[in-house]
Amino acid sequence: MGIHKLMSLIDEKAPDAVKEITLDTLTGKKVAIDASMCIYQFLISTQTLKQGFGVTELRDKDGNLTGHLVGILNRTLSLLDHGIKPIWVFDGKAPQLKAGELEERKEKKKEAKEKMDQLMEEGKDDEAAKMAQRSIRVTPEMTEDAKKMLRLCNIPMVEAPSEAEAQCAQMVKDELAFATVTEDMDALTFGTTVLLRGFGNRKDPIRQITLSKVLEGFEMSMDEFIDLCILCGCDYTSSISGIGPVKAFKYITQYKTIEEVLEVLEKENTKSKSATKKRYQIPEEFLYKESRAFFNEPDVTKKEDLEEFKWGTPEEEALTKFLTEEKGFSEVTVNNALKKFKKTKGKANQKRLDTFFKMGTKKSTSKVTKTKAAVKSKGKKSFK
Amino acid sequence: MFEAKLAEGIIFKKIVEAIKELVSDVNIDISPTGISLQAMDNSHVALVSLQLSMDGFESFRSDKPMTLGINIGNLFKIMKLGDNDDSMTLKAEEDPSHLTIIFENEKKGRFAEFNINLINIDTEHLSVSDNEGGSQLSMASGEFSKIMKELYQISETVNIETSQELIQFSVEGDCGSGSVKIGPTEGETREEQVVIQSDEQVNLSFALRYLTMFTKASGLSSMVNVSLSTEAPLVVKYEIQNLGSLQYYLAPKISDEE
Repeated sequence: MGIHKLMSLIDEKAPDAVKEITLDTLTGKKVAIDASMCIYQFLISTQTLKQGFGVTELRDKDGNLTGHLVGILNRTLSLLDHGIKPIWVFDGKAPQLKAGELEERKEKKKEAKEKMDQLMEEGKDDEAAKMAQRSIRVTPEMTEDAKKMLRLCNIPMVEAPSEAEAQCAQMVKDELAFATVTEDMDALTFGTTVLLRGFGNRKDPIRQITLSKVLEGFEMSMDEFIDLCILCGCDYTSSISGIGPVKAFKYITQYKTIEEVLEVLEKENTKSKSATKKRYQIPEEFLYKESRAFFNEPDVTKKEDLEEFKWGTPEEEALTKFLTEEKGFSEVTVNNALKKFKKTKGKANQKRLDTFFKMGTKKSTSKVTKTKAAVKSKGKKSFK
Repeated sequence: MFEAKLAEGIIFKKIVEAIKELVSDVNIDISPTGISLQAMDNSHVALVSLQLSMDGFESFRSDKPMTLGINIGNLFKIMKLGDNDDSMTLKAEEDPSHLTIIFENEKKGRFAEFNINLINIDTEHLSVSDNEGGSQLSMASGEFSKIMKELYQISETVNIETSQELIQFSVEGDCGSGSVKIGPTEGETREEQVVIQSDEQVNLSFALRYLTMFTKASGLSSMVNVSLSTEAPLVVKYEIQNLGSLQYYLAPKISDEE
């Protein structure tokens, strides 16, 4: 999913592009959240394993999963509480290019489900739970539930024509939002200027990745970066076996485009001694041109065609009715959520000082070789 | 080489105390004419700006401008080790790795010296400009602090409205709503004087969480100066006698209609 190993590549080649932040630093900003990605995370995290009962999930009376609703509601509240305005963005129709990838995922899910049932029978609960995570499927009804809930909360929501992360990236480019919130690294390939990762994990800080600094660190143009991502392995075409992120980086740095890289690879293949096994296996249908075109011009709704975003207060009665009567929420949970909504009112209305004054940076001039962390751990002196 | 001696070390302790809740790591600028500091809170909503002129120091020597990165929490720990009637000296070598802080008390015959490790930080620096026009309020710092604290008990947000002769602080909370109005008074002493000057009428809302943090500086000055303008952040200024000033800037809230 996303771009294979792009994060490790950024960590290695462009460490300056990554900043660890807390939610506080985002106060007063709007963020576009890849809802489809979150839904999976939430469903996985709300699965529980009960001894003897197997894996249980939160479900409504009709058997539809509801864990994602709890997750989206809580995430929304936590963002509002920090003065951050969320815009949830949902996947639309999957692009034709992704058909292969999706087919593969479906197969894997089916396999996981079968394996889970088998493991259950054998009483291997822990392993079964792992398989259960992999077998989660999001039905259109579940997505509709999430959209309905957000509408009732009066939180803005966008239905992307195609990929959600591409839509998020467009909204950031159009300055409708400060950043894209997703784990999916291809939001960068789609051109989001800022990407925020790691919202799912409360222990670790959020990582803020700035595209311009990635390009700077990689010493690449945006076109070269897109080609690099395709070579690393993306969702839209199968990749060349024998090429990993490190080689992809080396080749794009040297030869700039996939076309050139392919020529070099062909040559190396003919040089290879073994006639039966080629060093690099270029797939018969290597759709790099199509993928490149899609990264450059994805199907998205531009600023002009989007409704203005408004963050209102929830329609209490309708929301309570929907969540308690249809989705199996307890009244206490809904009431608490409504209370929290009220508490957050006004928090997102905080202006930032940088809207008034020009901002620059200032560095300490002191000669300190130790990093901050090293200073903190002082005291643990080693004896010689 | 930098060396500055302050006869009343407690003033510096009060300064550190007044900013430690708002910011954690700061860059302190040393120039041949004094010491200054500017730092923003994490969410970029509030800013603190300190200016200390060399004239207020018992002795002051700075050969070359330098910027010292310091963790305020650690600095406060060291400040607590000084007594209230100690003098305090700040010292740093050229290209320093630490800042030396010396507390001296001749009466008690006590001499204490500490080194605080410096850190390297990149801070965001704002080119702050002073408010012109708008509305100004000058009143006793203790009184202002009390009003802010009490209002914070009722609500997170305060609405400040000024007119020619009046400043009104209103809150709305779960338990009810209300307001405190302040008008100009002559007063017998300087501390009892309230001065209001309003060139432009202002109606803005602010987070009380920050305003109460600012009032931690009340110990530095008996008077406080608040200036409001529609075009600029709110400024709360405490003059430090003979030395300079400590100023806080706060961005307003955006009203719901916008």
